[in-house]
Parts: sequence; structure tokens; C-alpha cells
Amino acid sequence: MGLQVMKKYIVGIKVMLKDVVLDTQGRALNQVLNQNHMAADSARVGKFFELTLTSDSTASATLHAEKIAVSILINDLIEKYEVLEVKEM
Amino acid sequence: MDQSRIVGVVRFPGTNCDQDVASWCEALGYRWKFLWYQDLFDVGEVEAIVIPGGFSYGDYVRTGALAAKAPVMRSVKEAADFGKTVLGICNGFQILCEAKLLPGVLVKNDSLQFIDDWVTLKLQNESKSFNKLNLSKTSLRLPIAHGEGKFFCEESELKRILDSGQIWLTYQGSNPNGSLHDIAGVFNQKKNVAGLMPHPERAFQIWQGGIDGGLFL
Repeated sequence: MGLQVMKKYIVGIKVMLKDVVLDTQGRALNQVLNQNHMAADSARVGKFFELTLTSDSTASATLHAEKIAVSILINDLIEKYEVLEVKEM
Repeated sequence: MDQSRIVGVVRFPGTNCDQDVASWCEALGYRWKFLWYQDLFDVGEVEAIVIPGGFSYGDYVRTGALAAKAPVMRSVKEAADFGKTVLGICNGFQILCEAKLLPGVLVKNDSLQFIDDWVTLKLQNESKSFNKLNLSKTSLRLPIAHGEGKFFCEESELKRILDSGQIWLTYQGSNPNGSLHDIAGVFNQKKNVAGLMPHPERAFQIWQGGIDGGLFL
């Protein structure tokens, strides 16, 4: 049996509103961009979470992060998430 | 509701309508006690639970999201399953949605503004748990004060709650926040859990500008 070595990982999770939800913050930001001659085609505003997790592998750290995302970081009626990076510390 | 029984008033860090709700309960003739967010409580001790408004956990992550996971909510769920009356007002409504005790979710007002105003509401459906409200008086005046009060759910879910009579209250006249179907309040399926964005506890005395809030518990 292999020896399990626990390591620390930094996990970044991006949370965005689903497309069906009107992104009022994004709309306001886009309006201000236009007024300041920095027009973007569109703007959406989301959140970024950075978690430090202790785990034995990148795969299990990702799994742990996904569990956290689904249970508390997002409300699946209005939001979606993406695990953007899992870095060993 | 039996007046000899106790109303539990839940307090989270950031709850700010707790004392108003307590005064409201008292004025309506109920005994009441505060329920601390870190503690479980004996469900048999309370007849009804009110989750007051405010900014629980500073609205961090999402309004109501962190409060929905606090220990006290395990007891609130148990009480709801048991058929006790559970009422969420404003942030309390947001918490009940996040805890999945009510359908849908509350998102930012279409205007992006915090709104502080009076609204006219239309009672859409009755419930035995909130039996002072009945369809003989369907128009009600209550104050609102919220930044995230737009009720949202997917179309199929909206159809389901419409068909099952789970819409409690709708805004009449103008819709202040862009809520789907003008929804201001909803029930769970058993109709013993309800949430609304307006504040009945701010309108039960004439000097407050209205007395319709006295009908909500």
C-alpha cells in the first residue's frame, strides 16, 4: 500500500451568474465603460474564491472544492462555477 | 395561532429587525423568545418561528447563503417538517430560499437601487398557518426596504408554484424590483412556511402609517 502524503493546495473558483439571470452589475459596468469611451461588447460581473485545502492529490482537492462550490458558493438556480486552478503550495 | 404558545425569533449576526419583530409579536399578544444562530432549539418549545430582516453575515457570498447553513437552521427545518409556522421577512425570506425551505431565490433589484417605500400587495392564496389573512381582504399596504428583492426562478418552477397555489402575495400597481410575476411572497408546498419581502412588523400601529402588518402572524 502506497504511503499517502497530504499536501496543501490553493484552489481558485470562479462563480458567475447564469445567462438566464439579468446581470445588473454587468449592465451598469458596461454603461459606465461606454460613457468613458472604453466600450466593451459586454460585461459580466462574478466572484472569485480562493481556498486552501489539504489533500493527497490534485484530483481529490478538485473534488473537495467542487463539493464546497455546490453546497455553499453557488445557488444553482442562478449561478454556475468553474474550478480555475488547483496549485500545489 | 394559539396565543399561549411561544414565537421563536431567530437572530444571526447582522439581523437588525429582531427587536421590531419581538415588539410586533408582543403587540399581537404572543409570547416570544430569541433563538441564537449558533444553537439548536427544542422544536416542541415554539409554535411559530420568525426569521427577521437585516443583513445576516453582512450579505457575504449571497444574501442569506451563509445564514442558511448556520446550526439554528437545522432546527428551523425540523420545525417546518413538523408543520410549525415559519415566516421569513425580507432577509429572512432570502434565508429560507437559500435553505431550500421556499422555492426560488431573491436577486438584485432591476434598478440596482436599495428601495425604501410603501407598496400595495394583493393576497393571492390563503394558508391555515397565516389565517388572519383571507381572501375577503385582498389589498394590503406594507413598507418595503431592500436591495435584493427580485424574486427569480426558472419558468418551469414558476409554473409549478403558480399551479400549486404557492404564490402568497404579489405587488399591485407597480412592481418595485422586477420580481417575476410581481411576486412579493411565496409559500412552501405545505403552506406552513412563508416568506415575503415587505415588513409587516413595521406596520401594525396607526402611528407607523398602517396596520395591515397585524394580520401576518
